[in-house]
Amino acid sequence: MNQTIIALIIFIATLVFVSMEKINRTVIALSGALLFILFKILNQHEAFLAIDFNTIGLLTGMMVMVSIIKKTGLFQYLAIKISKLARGNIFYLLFFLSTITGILSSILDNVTTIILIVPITLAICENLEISPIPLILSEIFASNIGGTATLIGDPPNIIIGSAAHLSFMDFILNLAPFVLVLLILLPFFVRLFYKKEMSQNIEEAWEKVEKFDEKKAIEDPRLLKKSLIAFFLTMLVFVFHHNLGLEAATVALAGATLLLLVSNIDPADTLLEVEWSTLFFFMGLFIVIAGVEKVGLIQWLSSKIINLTGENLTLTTLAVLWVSGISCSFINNISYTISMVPVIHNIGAATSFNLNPVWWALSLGACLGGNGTFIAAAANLVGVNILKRQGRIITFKDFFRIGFPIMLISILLSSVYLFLRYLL
Amino acid sequence: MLKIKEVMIPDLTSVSDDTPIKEVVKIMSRQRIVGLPVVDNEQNVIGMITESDIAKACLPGYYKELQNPSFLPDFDQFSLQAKKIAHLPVKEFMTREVFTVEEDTSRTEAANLLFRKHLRILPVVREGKLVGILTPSSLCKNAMEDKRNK
Repeated sequence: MNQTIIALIIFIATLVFVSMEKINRTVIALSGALLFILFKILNQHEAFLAIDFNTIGLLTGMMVMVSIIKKTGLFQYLAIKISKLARGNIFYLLFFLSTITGILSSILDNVTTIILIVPITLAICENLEISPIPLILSEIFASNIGGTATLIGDPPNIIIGSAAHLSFMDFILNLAPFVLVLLILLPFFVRLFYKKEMSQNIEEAWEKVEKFDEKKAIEDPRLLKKSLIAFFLTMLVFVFHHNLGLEAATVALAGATLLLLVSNIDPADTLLEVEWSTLFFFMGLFIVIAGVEKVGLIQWLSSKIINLTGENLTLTTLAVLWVSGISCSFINNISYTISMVPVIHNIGAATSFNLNPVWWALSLGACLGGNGTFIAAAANLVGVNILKRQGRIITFKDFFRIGFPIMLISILLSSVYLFLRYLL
Repeated sequence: MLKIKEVMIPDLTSVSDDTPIKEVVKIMSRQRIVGLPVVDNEQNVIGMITESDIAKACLPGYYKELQNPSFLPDFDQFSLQAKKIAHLPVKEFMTREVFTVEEDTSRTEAANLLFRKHLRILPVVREGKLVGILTPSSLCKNAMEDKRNK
């Protein structure tokens, strides 16, 4: 059989199986990668070269940092403190919890954010005797939206940043302001959808929430102090990393090393918390895409796209945005983004486009697409599973009814934003 | 070879699966035991209810999800949930797949089961019917008093 056809079959099978989640996604990605080598489409050397270690290093560094900082109780402290600002108003409670989730998710990965925030929300809701569903769904949506704001917020951004040499500040300046607008609009939309639940009076029971003592959430004040200093130092270096000539992975790994140094935590414990499975998933996918690229499929797809959009930057940008948003509602956004990167590089090489708007479109589409269905992002599944353990079942349809419109509206607003800012 | 029936505690305290949790807790604190076999009308062991099963059921649902519950204000949520389950029957909380040993099992075999599965009470049965219990301390006591290894 022709190598191109073999490559196409392996590639499509990888994408389909990863999205079906019946078999572990890392095993699928590694199997795909292995098949490319066994079928001699790639040799081992080429396969290893295909792995983007800037992405892997950045992910690892952030995982180490987050695993140390989350032990301090800082995030719970913030969540409780900010909830208290609601002062017995259910919409304010929704607004503050959802917004803090979005903001935290722009520096933490989405799943960690959800694991930290959702249980606190459950505790608050149980004390207030209200349904946690609107609040928790809003937090899930906010985690996907907030992650779009920064280079480190969501894996697609890490991949895009590394591939397109976009810096931490590029993301902050180009995406964060728009994402903040989306985050502010989100609770209003959720309120429209959950009118009945959002009209409950929680003033009387509110004193119970006031009794939550956020200070007690800080388990180790000394560790907190040290890790905060190390963390802010890392963020500061992130702001200037391009000017300093440092790659993002260097900054994240330096931050992780600094935190390990000052925290005195045994690296063996911390390194166990690194999600090795996710890292190997990335490595497998990088190899799969390199295989597809080698047989010329990526080039073929890129030229088709250029033919369709007629070398029109506006059309290309909007097409990438919408196709990404809809696709990533159903398929894994990491595999999607890794596949799209070489396509966009090719489009850039074949045309005279300034590719930046296209990269932003890919980021917005891939990240915001995560809200479309509950299988679209890991944070959605984690949040829905926590609710399930509380006896509150959210079906695919329940999630879709609110998540898909939120995805469509956010992609629509993104189109307007991209058009006005870059394409006019 | 010493059989388990010579080591076991011939205690037949047990409950039926429709006993309210409130009663179970009373028996446990009166008898100072950490678990009770659940039996049917013919004394067949059909389950096991332990202190930790009940404690878990008393916790509000979100409690297990919280990484650090220290900020929670008071005992209210715990007692509310405890009161809720007090009148519910044992069958809602018991473990159905229980380990038991036949009375003529060897001590080694019973000790293996007890320690490997971290059981605190192991019902001893004769053809499925409860005849006693075995606890880690009863087994250790017997081992310490074993005359053959002096």
